[in-house]
Amino acid sequence: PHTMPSNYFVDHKRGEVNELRGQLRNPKLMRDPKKQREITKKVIAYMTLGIDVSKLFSEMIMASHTKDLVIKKMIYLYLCNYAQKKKDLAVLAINTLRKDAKDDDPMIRGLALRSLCSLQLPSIVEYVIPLLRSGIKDASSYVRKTAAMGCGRLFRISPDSFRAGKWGDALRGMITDREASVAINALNTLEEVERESGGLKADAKTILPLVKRIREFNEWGQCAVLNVASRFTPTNQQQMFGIMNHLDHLLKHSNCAVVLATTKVYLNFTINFPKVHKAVIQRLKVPLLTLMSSSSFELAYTVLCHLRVLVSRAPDIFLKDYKHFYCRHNEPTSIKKIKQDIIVALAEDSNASELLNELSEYITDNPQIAKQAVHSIGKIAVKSEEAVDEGIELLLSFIDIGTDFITATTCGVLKDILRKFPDRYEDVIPSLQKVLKSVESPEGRASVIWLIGEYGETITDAPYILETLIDNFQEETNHVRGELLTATMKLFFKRPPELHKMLGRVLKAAVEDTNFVDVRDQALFYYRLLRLDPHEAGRIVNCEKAKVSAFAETQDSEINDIIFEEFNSLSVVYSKPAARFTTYRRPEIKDPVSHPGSPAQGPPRVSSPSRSLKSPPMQILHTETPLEVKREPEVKAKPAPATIDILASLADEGPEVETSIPSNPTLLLKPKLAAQMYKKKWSGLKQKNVFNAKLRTPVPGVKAIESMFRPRGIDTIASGAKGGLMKFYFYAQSAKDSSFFLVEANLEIASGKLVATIKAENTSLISEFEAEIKSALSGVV
Amino acid sequence: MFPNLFIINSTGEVLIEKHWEGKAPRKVVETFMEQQVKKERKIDVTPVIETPKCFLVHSRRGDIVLLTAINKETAPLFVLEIHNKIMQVMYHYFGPSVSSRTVRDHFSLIYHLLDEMVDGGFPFTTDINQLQAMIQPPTIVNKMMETFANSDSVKKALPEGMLTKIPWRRTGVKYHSNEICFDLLEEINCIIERNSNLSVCEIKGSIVCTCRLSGMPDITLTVTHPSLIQDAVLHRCVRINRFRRDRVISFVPPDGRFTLLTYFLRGPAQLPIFVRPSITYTDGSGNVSISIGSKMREYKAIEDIKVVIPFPKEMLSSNLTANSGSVSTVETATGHHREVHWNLPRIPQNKSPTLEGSVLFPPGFKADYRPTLVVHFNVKMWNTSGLQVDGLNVTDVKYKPFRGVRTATRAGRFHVRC
Repeated sequence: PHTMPSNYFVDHKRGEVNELRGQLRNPKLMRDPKKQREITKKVIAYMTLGIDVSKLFSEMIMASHTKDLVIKKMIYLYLCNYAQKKKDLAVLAINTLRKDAKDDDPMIRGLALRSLCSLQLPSIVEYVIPLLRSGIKDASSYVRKTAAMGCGRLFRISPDSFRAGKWGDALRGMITDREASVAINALNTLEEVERESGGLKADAKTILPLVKRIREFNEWGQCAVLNVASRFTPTNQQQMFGIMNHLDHLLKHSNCAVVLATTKVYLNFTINFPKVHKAVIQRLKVPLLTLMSSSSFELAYTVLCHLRVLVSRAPDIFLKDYKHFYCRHNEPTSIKKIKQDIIVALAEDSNASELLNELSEYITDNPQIAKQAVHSIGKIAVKSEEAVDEGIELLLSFIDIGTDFITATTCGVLKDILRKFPDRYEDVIPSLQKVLKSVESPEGRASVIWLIGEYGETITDAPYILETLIDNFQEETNHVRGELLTATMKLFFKRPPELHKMLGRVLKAAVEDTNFVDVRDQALFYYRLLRLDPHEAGRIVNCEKAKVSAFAETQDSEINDIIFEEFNSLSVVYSKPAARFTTYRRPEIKDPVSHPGSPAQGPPRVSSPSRSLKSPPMQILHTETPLEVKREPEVKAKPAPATIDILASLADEGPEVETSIPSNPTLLLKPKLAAQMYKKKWSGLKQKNVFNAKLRTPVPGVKAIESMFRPRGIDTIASGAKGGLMKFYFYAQSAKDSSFFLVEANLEIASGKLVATIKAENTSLISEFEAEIKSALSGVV
Repeated sequence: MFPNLFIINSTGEVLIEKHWEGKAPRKVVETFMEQQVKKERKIDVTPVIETPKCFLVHSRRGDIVLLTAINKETAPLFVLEIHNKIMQVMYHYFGPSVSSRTVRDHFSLIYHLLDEMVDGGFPFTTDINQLQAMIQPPTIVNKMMETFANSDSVKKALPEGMLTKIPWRRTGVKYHSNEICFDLLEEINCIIERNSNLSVCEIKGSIVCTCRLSGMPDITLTVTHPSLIQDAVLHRCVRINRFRRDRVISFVPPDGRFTLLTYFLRGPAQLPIFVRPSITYTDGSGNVSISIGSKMREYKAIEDIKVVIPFPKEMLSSNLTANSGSVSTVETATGHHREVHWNLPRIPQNKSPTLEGSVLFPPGFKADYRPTLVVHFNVKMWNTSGLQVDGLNVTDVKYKPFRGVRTATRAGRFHVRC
């Protein structure tokens, strides 16, 4: 009967469950342990298949009176699975479990205790507590470690009785248990329990003994200890190096999780010592490269994500290793993508030619990779002067391949290159011109149209090309329409007689079609501009374009910094800070600048403005989307988002007003407050003061306003403009007692009316703070 | 935190489902399958997928997928490494080809294992030796015992390994004939460019030990060029300080087969084989000529050679012949390419093997496809780096064990562009 267990998985009829019930009730069968085991197995099999066997609950409880450990295990599994559904019946199981929890066999004691805790029923807390009490003092380490785990489950069922019973203290005592597994379970549980407040407090008393006995723990225990240790700040350099030396052997571990956790400790410890930090990255390089090439795809991918962060942080260390990031044709697309990112990051004059060659190999890969390769080639060409010629040549050769998506992408990339090297247009224009007839995709068309607008004076038949396009204006997409409009406008000032009629037509077409609101807005804007002063309009539209010196990377360095702080976490895989995608976030209240041992060395951790700007809990207000290309001083640029007043959004993009104000005695210059804490504090403070002011119109943009406050130590946690209203959330910290000031400010864009609600932790300081705001606003009131 | 695990087969059917913290709905499996359907190749599904409610972390091995849904910030590598470990244990228990069928056949045993490996959402006993002491692998003898003596594979006692300072070795091991073998294995990963330059080359080497020794032996191993293994990844049994100080590998081994250390060598290396491909396309057809041969100074048997040549899927037919070995055309699983496989049992001494002929495409088909050949081979009694065992000492035991060392090299990711 044992040979074919797979027949558990054939299709079942309803009657099967009833038949099982009959078997479970049959005393004859149940007395034979072998049969009993068979039947129990069948029940479990059904359960895993997703068939509801909860009807058998009472029978299974009856069956749990057995000495057979295997049957016990299976029945416990069943009980835990269905306890939620059959709460009233689950209480019946408790007697058996309680009895077993006092069994002579430590294995049964542990097992019973574990199951009892995982029933997750608030009603049984009173039974569980005394058993846990004796469990944490049990002679057997197996029971002790189970009990430590059980404390965590107790916390989940009933946090109040957890706190009332001072279980946290009991667990802290268990961290020093001589048995490693008990210590680790206690540590894990404490981490879980104190997750809300940022996990177990990483003080020297807890950390040092754990680090000292790190070799006793298994790999997972080591991960747990390292996680806590990464939050620890060593008191002096000697201690720091001591711990790092002690952990060094873990970098040779075959478990990626351990290596990355160690890496995080190293990086966090040294973040304020740039030199050591570099040396550490150098030290980490080989182990990480090794992990990358030795692991399964999944692990390799995740390690690569981490390498990408390190490379962006210290490209010079990896410069010689670029070849390790060459793609293999049978690798998953995800891995190839990251490898290309890294290749681009590592490109410089000396290796550019080689890298371009390598990247051109990827053109025959799948569309995603091929497109990225075209982009990568463009990025390298822009990055390295040496590579421009070769890059352009390669790109032009791709146009002849004839695949639409490659041609389209190539056009876009060539356009970008011309923005940095405008004088290269002679090489590019002829090839692009012939492409326009064949290319289908909107991005490709838009790029070529941009080029016609830009270099139309040199292309003889430019007006005719535009004319055919304008004839089919209605068939184009939003993006292409916008570009077409701009190109016609630009060319109009270069070749007025030919374009005069055409411009009229395109403006009319754009204004009449209300389905494309931003194209329409743009057209209206041009129209008014032309009516106001045609010469001035020409000057604005065809202004001298600043050469684009570099393209903004897809992620800016501020975000990179935050991600770096969250090393060895999901953030790295997603290249965005945890707060962007998880609801839970470790509140961050670290000492901002001072690092004991070396007060002035190195930059402080991530400066708070970045954190606040991107902080998402109130992100709804922030309407700006990250831009791919740094702005040119050109009015046309991108069509402005429709709902926002054009002027306001222009001001928004204007250069930041950086005023240098000497350090301020009333407020700390770099206040530190996580968004989560902001919310908490805001709702916690009842008393509020209201501050009114009237700003000169037109009011400055969101960023400009923020930068008026920042130098004074008043930082923004969230901001944005919507529906004629700007909203700001500011915070500041008093220099006297470090108490926080929180401000919610609403500014009507049209009238310049500013209403600010101020809440202060220390209300006696509020007038001082108000004076501070007034003086910050003095320039615009 | 490792809150849950789903083991699913290729159609998304749940084979094993286990929750340690909370209960993740089965819907996550559907979400995962939706993501998978979007991709052309299954391996293109990223290991970590973001969904509105949670993150799906998965590892794929053969036709099964290990899937975990997490909703709190967790180190992704932590989850992936646990998957990895679970698979290692399954390989150990059920043999090297774990499939959805294996999982079905042994589901109750797998539940037992998972119960021990993860406790309350944290990995606990993952050491194979310890697990084995608690839960016996399903061997034929065990099955007989189960049927006749009615003892299941779960042992009743606590494993002793848990309480010792050497948790990786069980106590009381006894063998009639004691032997210890070391396999020095190397794998060549490289890309050979069109101009036959070696653009990327790395050697992944490992020392795999098969230990069948009674008692608690203490082993000291020295190698000829210790500098080669300077950056090695070591098994936890190796005494790391001794290794750093004296470059000597000293350890108390686990029982059975295990990887003692893994090392990586980067930079140019001597390759045992050369491959000279030439594929040219004219309108509607392509000419193929590929020759391979040994680059070894002295004769070493190069065996099990296989050259995989991918062609565009538009290929109508191929007319390729080889002067040695066999040629076959294979449709790839994804249908992107049609592959020609050239198999050779070994490289003959007297002639150099060549594959020649032409492939046919529809008229007017423009082939700008530049294929990458994948080459497989095995070389015994030779390794690229020249690493050798210099000395081997077994102490703390009364017997004299049989000792053996083998060397072998094979192609890992050996790619030739043409």
